[in-house]
Amino acid sequence: MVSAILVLACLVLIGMQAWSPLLYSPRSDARAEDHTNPAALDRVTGDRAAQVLPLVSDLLNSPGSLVLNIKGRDFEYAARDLQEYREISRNLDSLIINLEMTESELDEFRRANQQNLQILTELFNGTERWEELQTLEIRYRDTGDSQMLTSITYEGEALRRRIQDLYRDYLDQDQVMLETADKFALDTTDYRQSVTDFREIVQQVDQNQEERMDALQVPAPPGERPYKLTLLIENGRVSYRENVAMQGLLWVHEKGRADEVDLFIDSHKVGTIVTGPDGSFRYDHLVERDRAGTHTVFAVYSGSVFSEIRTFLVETESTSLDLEFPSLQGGHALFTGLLRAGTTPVQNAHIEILAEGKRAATTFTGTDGHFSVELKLSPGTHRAKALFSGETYPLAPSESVTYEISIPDPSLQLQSETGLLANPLHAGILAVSVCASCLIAFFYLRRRRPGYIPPAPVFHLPGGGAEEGAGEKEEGGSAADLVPSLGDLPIPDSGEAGDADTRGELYPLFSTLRMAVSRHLAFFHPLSLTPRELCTMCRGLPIRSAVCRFTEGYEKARYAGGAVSEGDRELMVQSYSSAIENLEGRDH
Amino acid sequence: MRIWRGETISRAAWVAALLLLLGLFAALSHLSATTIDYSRYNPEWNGTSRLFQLMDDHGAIMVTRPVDLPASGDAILLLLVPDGEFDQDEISRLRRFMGEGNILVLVSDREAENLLLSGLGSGIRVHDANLSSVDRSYDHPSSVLGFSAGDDPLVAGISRILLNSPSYLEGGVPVFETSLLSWIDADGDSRLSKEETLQRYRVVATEQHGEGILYVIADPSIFINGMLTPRSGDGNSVFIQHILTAKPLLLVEQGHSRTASAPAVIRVVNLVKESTITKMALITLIFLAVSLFILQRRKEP
Repeated sequence: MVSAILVLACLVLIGMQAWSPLLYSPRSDARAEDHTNPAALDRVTGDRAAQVLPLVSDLLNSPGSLVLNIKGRDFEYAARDLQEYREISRNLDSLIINLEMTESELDEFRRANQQNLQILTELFNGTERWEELQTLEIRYRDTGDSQMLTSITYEGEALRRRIQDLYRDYLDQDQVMLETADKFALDTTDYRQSVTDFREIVQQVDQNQEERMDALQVPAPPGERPYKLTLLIENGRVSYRENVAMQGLLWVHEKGRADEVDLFIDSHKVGTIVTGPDGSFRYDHLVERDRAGTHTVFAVYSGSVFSEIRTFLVETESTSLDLEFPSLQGGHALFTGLLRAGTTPVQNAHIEILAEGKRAATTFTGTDGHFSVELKLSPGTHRAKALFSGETYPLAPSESVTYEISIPDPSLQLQSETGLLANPLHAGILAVSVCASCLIAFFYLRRRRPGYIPPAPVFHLPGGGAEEGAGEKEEGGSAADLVPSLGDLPIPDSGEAGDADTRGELYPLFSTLRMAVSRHLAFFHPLSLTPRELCTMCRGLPIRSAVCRFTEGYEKARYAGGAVSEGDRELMVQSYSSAIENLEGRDH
Repeated sequence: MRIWRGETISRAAWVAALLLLLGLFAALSHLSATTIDYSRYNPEWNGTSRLFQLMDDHGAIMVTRPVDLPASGDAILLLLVPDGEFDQDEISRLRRFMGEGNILVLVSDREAENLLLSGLGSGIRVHDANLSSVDRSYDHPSSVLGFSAGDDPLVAGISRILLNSPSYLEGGVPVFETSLLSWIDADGDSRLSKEETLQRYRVVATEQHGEGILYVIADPSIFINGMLTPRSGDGNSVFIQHILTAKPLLLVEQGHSRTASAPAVIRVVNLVKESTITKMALITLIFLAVSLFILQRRKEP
């Protein structure tokens, strides 16, 4: 019983460790109240500030050289500077994501820098075009092509407005850029110089355009209108999904005839409008992807009659990005949400899903502003949110709340849901183990079952026949075959020698009786039984009195060393025979 | 079967005796060590057994009461992770100790030590905060790197040290400070959030007090066993060497320090080791017990 408990205890202890055989590792003891075990952590590159700060410094310096080259109209060098600036910006983007600083003030610097990069790229393109217009103006002025001069002037006006807007946007980034530089004790001379140079570019463009406009203005003869095509804008300040109503009148119109007027916004033709019978026309422009800022509008009839230049202002509107808690299916998370500008849903907008600050998925909003995207995530905890960058829209960027999502480990999930049998491999191993255990147990028990009792010690029967009897015993398989018949029982001679013989010959009887009783009671260790134990074992059996009588006499004869009287011997033989008969049957 | 003094002893008894001996050895080994944080008897990663071994090699003297502090100006007292409050007498003795031209090194990340600092007339203050940094040696934000600042003798030849969940200091002259890319992780999310600003934080500072010097180290974890493994690039070992050898006489406070924390068994052993009377009493007891045993055996037939 005790052995069984100990064995069970051992099995339970082994079983407890079986799922996690590792008794100790630094990771299992990684944290104490005041500190973390370094042995449990992975080493990383140390001085990362040494990477970030020079990069920030470079980004502060880059615009200086770029704007200076744009101001000096050295577009080849400016293009090279712009390319370098773009690469450094990209490096900072990667570093900030790697350092998990996507919500830091350094990320604000990164975003401001991204804006600057975009602004300076547009400035580069705008001033390059401006230079082309300057060249074309000289050429057309020489040839006296007034229509082309008007076209150039109008495009120049659009460019001027755009460059002015860019300068305003550039100034908007000042605060973040300079604050970061101050905090990191970085030199801002180049950046400040870039602002000055930018202002000078704007002033140059402004001055040139003013001169161009003055040159274009030809005073109308008395009594005549300065423009034969007029244009009006009803609402000059608009925001996302609002209409800019433009209407005009073609004064050189022949009554009753429908004419066509081309309409240009920011020097790009947006449509051809058919005039009414009275020469009036109207166009509603829906603001969707127009950048925030001032836009120029003019109309042209027949490629030669120009309207005056009108402007409208697109204002930036704030947005809200609502993200529902992602629904989980296996290792996939389904993100759904809604993007709105005020109460207006934002259509076809680009939405990014960020997990751990890195872009994990992208999608677009539908016509109702809703979006939905499924994302496969690795097991573990993730912080995810949705982001609308606002690029190409007159909308402010926005982001959703951040959710913490726990993706369960599929293997653990399988075990916790349906236990061990959920895994076919585990179930197979378990089945094989159980079968093997059963088989081993069966054969073991069968081997130990007392169906076959080893032959009793050989004793010699008086009057010969011992060899024959022994031979029979060896051939025989049962204890009954080993029991000597009553007639063959030893009858020793009288005297000391006879007593000794009697004692020696009584032992086989005791041994046979012990075997027979053990077999009857399925006792596995018959040889360990003493005469008294044999008697005790027979408690409750009908043979008890016979067995006890025999063992009592046997004890006296064997251990007390006294002589066995004829009567006692007779009694013992009778007791033995009675017990054996009872156990094995009268035939034996 | 074995025969011992004429009696037979079964094999099972020998095995049992061996197991008992092994068990006794294991129990003694277990009881003679501890896992208490910062304990000098803790040989695990969070103990300070290696530091104390190092200090023993430097002939350090353990001081349990400030009254035992020497008056000479050639000592440095290491006050590691103090626990509990210092009374006015203790503070004034420490102040006098510094005033005599000695060095006091206070190592603590608890704001509770500001009372002691204030009592010592120091302008340095400890701020218990979750200081994190992008500049780290291990992939954990609290594995902060401290960079040497100034030209204090303790930082000679060291460019940086590795800290482990440090607090930060205010006041004093900086000895080590974090890089600019460090922040207080107020929300405990192990990452830099919008409200958490980047700046340099002072982690080791010093102050002159008359002829003496006070150093405050805002991270006791730099002295634990797990941090004493030499690593490339980190100057922790050199920094500790500089502290231990800053003055000819090295004193280690053990009256308030958590490094003296020990379980009852170790305390008893220490009591015996440190007192001659208890040693003698123990030896007498052992002799008595052996004598009684022998007498008992002789009486038996």
